[in-house]
Amino acid sequence: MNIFLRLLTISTIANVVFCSISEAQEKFVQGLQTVDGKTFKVTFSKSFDIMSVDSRLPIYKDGYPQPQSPTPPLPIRSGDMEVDTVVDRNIFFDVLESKLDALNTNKEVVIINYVFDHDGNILDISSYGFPKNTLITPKELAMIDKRLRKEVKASFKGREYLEHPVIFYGREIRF
Amino acid sequence: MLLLVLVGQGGGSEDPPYGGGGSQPKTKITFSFCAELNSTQKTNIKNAVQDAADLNCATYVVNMALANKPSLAIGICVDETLGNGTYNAATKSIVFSTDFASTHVEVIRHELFHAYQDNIAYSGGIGDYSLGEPGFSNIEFEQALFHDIMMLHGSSATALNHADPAVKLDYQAWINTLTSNGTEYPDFSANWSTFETKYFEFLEEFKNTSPYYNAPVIGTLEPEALKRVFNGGLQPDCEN
Repeated sequence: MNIFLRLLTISTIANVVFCSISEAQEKFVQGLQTVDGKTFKVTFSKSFDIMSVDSRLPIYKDGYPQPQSPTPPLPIRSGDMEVDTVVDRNIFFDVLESKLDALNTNKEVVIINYVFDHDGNILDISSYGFPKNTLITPKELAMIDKRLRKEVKASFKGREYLEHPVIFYGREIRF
Repeated sequence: MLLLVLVGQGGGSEDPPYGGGGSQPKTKITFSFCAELNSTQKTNIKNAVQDAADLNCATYVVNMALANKPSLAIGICVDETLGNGTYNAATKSIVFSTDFASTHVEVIRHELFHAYQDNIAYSGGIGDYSLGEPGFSNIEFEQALFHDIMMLHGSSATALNHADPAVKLDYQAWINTLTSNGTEYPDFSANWSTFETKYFEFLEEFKNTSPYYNAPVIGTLEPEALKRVFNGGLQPDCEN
């Protein structure tokens, strides 16, 4: 192979790799996607217009701890759990500032499934739900995910929450 | 004959559930209290029952049906029992494990739904589907789904909290579809077969991810209570 062909081959390979990385950051595709060190597992629903982005930490890949009591614990009363919903909304709107109008036109709704510990800290975010044609990119989600995990807190009253090893909280944000 | 209380973890949603039943006339379910209960305990339980009815229009309809059932008197005791509360189909009674549980609105709502299944919706009652028996997971999933529909928003759904995230999101999307994105109750008098297919799919997931309710599914046991409550005549604003 002469030097010209070698350079062409190297250049082509480099382009393919670069394009794959760029695409991984700009568009959700079925399967595993790693963006800025964060790995998401993307699944397009076969039944609904929704895409699941599994964002669990590796230690929870086999599921979250279940109560050990022989019977189900008391449910948490409505009103006994408060979540910083202004904070998470602001994070989304901050990161997505340049495309808020487009998201509104697209009538986008995002579902966020939080998992909290007893101190009100985020233990994990199990998943995000987006419409299949979402305008939000994996790179933006990685930025949002990083901030949510640090900044969103919950607070609890009563005693029921203590019976649950982890506390699930689902939330929708509409644009 | 025992039915257990559901795991109710967290919840959520941007839009809180409405209080649709609050302006409705009071429901007056007939209770037969155990002799050991004093007047304060009885009053507290009655108040909590009314609070359960006032949660929303769906719970109101459930309580009203029980109140209007001729010759039905639901037994109420506070005693040692499995879980926080149990509904016993053989004796038509609810036993709470503690005073605290007996005034916990979600526990009461849950057990009254089983009373509704037993006395109103299922012609043969639900006594055959007791703890661990075939059909037990059907009865409990129907209750869990009732809860998630009454909350209106898929993000508040809890029945599949321990399922794989993709399955849980499918379930949440299904709830949003059933409630037209949290704006109305479903109408099961139409499109029943479409609903039913998904119902049994998610029931299997519920059974497999809820250790307390892991009993064989009866594939022919339809959710008669849901069919009856959400028959197209009921909406969140209590239009009936």
